[in-house]
Amino acid sequence: MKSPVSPPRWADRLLKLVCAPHRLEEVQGDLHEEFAWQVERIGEKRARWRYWRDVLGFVKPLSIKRKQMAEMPYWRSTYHHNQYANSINPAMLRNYFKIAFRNLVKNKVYSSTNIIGLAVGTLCCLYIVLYVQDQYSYDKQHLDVNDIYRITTLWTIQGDKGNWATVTAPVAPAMKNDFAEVAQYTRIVPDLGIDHHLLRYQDKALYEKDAVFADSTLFDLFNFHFEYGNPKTALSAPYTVVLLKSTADKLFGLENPLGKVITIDNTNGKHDFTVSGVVDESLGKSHIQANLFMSMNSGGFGDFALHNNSWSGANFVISYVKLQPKTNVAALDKKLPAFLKKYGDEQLKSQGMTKDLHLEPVRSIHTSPGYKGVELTKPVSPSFLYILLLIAGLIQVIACINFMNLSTARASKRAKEVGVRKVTGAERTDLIRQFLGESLLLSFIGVCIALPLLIILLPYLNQLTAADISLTFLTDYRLWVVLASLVMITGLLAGSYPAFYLSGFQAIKVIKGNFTNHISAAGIRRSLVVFQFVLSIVLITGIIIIYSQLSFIKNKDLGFDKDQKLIFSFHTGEAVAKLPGFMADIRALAEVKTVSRANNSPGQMVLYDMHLFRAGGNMTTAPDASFIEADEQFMNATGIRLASGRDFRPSDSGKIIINESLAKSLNLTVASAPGTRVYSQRGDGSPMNFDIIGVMKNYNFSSLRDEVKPLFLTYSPDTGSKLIVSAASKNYTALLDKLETIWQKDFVNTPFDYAFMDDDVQKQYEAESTLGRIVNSFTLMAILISCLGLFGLAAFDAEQRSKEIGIRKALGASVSGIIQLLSKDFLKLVMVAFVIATPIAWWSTNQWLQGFAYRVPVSWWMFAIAGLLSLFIALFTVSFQSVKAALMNPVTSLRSE
Amino acid sequence: MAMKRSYLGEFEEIVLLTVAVMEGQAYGVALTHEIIEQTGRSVRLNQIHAALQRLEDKGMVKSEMGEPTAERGGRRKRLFTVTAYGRRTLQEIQDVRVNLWTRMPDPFNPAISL
Repeated sequence: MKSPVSPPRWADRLLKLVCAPHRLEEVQGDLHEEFAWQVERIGEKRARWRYWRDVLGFVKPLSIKRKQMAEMPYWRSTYHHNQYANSINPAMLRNYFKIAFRNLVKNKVYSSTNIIGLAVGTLCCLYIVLYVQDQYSYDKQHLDVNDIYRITTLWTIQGDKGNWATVTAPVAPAMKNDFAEVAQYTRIVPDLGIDHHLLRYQDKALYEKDAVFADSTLFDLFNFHFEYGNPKTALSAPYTVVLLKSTADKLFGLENPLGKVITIDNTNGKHDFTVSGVVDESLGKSHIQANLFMSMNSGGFGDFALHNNSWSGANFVISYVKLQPKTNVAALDKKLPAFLKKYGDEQLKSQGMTKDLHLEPVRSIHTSPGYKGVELTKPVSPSFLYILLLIAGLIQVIACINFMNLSTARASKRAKEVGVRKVTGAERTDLIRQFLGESLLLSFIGVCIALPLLIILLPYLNQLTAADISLTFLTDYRLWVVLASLVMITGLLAGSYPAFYLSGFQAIKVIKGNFTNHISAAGIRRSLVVFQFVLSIVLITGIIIIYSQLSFIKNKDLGFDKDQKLIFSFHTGEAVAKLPGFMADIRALAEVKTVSRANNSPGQMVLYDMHLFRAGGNMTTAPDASFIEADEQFMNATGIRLASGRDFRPSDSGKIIINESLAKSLNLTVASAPGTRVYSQRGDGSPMNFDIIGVMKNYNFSSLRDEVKPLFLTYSPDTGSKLIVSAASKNYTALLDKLETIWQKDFVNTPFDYAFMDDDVQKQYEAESTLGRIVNSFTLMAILISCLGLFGLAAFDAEQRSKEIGIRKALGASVSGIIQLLSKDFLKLVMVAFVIATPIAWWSTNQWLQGFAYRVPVSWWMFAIAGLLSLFIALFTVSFQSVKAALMNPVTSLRSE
Repeated sequence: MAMKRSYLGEFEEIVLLTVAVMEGQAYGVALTHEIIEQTGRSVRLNQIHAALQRLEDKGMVKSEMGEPTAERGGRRKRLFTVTAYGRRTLQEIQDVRVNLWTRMPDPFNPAISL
């Protein structure tokens, strides 16, 4: 009978590694037989654990892989080999440990340099590995995650191509209907344009973001832990809502929320919902980041999606399909063009657009950025994660280089030991093993320091990377595997060169005492130092350029005035109705210059767009332009300037002001545009027209990553849900007090909520700020470790040359002359590093800057500063030792002999 | 009576006895299960393998490869049998014990041992 489950593959690999090849067959056979038996007895999961335990039982010095000698009983050979030739026996091991320990204690400077370097390197590595692992852990908890796909749209309108994470409402149900491969579907309709929902329960009121409508099948596809409620039925009834635990806690505290009625109030209206469930993320993180899940049949956009039959526009429904197990996804993907043609051909043609539908695996959504439209998570770019891993690796390599450098530099000190060992019969392999063992010991100590350090620094590191890694990783066996491999890799990497170098000494030469440091070893040491400083200089340049770009963004003239502006957003229909009263009240304040009502303020995403064409044009060729509904104070309050024509007047209707970019797209000049009539169509095909009354200068209404796109203002003084308040002075405290008093009077029982425009603008660059902070800290680490290495080498150099220095001083050399002598060599290395680093830094920072349409010019001084800085750091580090050596009394160094 | 034989540990003795009991059907897993059943100790596979290795080194057991089975993933077993020297050693141990027991003046009485 063939056993249906196979034992852990990795355990088998480990066994292969450690078990003598001639014994492998029977040992592995026994283990497999035992496994099959245990699966029957205690179940697969526990049997797997037991299998690991059993395999680990074979990992012992005595079971280590050995060669079989010919014509001997199968282990007699290994026994003899072990006894007489192999140095892994307890006495020798004890000796190695003793020598390693004595060396550590005797050379405190070298040991601590090495250990601190390795510990810091390991700390960086470990945290980055945890961070990257966390980013890749999204959505792995769903039972059928490998069969769940998101439907995405490749959408082309007038040559403008874009990948959207959304589709139109009927796509997912039609797919289930048409394809046997589709087992189930579910859809999520996000809260388009509503960034706050006012939740009320009894006398509690709070704002919450991210409320979505979802099909009742949502929790069939995606597994969330239900603290209360039943996943099968939670979203079936109309006007039911499932809350995220954090939201439920805020509203209900310790009360059981199930069946309680809450009011959800936003600009689309106000309705009572029954709480049908509370979920948390204890099963794992999901890309579906929402605080409230409302059942689809609860009015608003949800109802719209249920009854909408558009295959062209209204492309805002996030849809997922669960496929039958083992479906050929590529084949299904190929059937989608015909499927789309069958349903949507007519609609798409009439709108002049083409679409392609694709299936995207849910398990990689969190690491697939680049989709337009609404996303429920903020995806992270895999290249960013690779850069992090690369930095982590490089930092660890720098630490390893320190180890190699110091070990080879100290070679003369240990040459005698090598000589004696060889004379008493040590093979070269024994010495290699000894030195590798020493470096493994050091890297192990490094890990022992790094782990508690990581636990202490975790909150700070989380803040740095805006992540939320918790201590639970300690219970994850994979962490320990990573740790063990980190110790192994670091130890072997750092120990390999010294091990082969030191073990290669000829016993006769070192014992006779004519041992000299090889030229080649010095050469390798120098190139390793150069390598370290190349990295440091590249990283420093990176920081300079990232921060220059960030400050460029901060100080660039965006075409509007972002300072001293308060933004009020109104999130409920009730509040919007009372808005004119509030506006009149605050206009009366002396501290307020102007107040404008609009549906957008600069720095926030412009959500609405429309196709505009001139007489004789049509919808299919019309350029797409974003638009803002604004009143006559909008340009005044934001400081946007007119290029030609006039501003809005209260009597205007059907009038628009376009920006220079739109004027260009419409083939109008700034001077000729005012007075031109432009046309468009509503979704149902009915025509609209507007008169251009003015052209405003381009302002950056989206981030500086993009060029200014076409935009226009349409006069609509009574529809906006935002107020832009231009304050007369920077003294906000008095103003905010007064505003709050008025607010409490006008909007009873609604939390006072405001934002500053300059904050909103800055928020667009959060990713860049995070990158800046991360690179900043890692650069510090890299520099620190490089300096440690340099420090150690300088100390060694000064010690080696102490006699020379003594003689020079006795003959009348000055202190400054000796400092120069000792520092010169190291500074030369930093210069060489600078020459190598500059092109690398130039290329890599340029790559990063390509992501911005508006970027800071890269100039020579950025590199010069990086070079000078590292030169200064190197000089500072080396001078510690050189000054000490130069100040020493020559008698002390010359007397001994 | 000074006997010139290899020293046999208590655990090795149990393994050797079990090999003898199982008569040609003794191999790693089977031995492990049998010993667990008979002695109630928690014995692990690698201990059995190590003990067998030592016993074969001392020449008390010999081994040959057996037939492959499916649950072993088509791998062969190594079957152990006790050598004449092994049998003699076991016999000697047993003789020493019997001899000592018979010379005990007051064999433990189960009634008062409580």
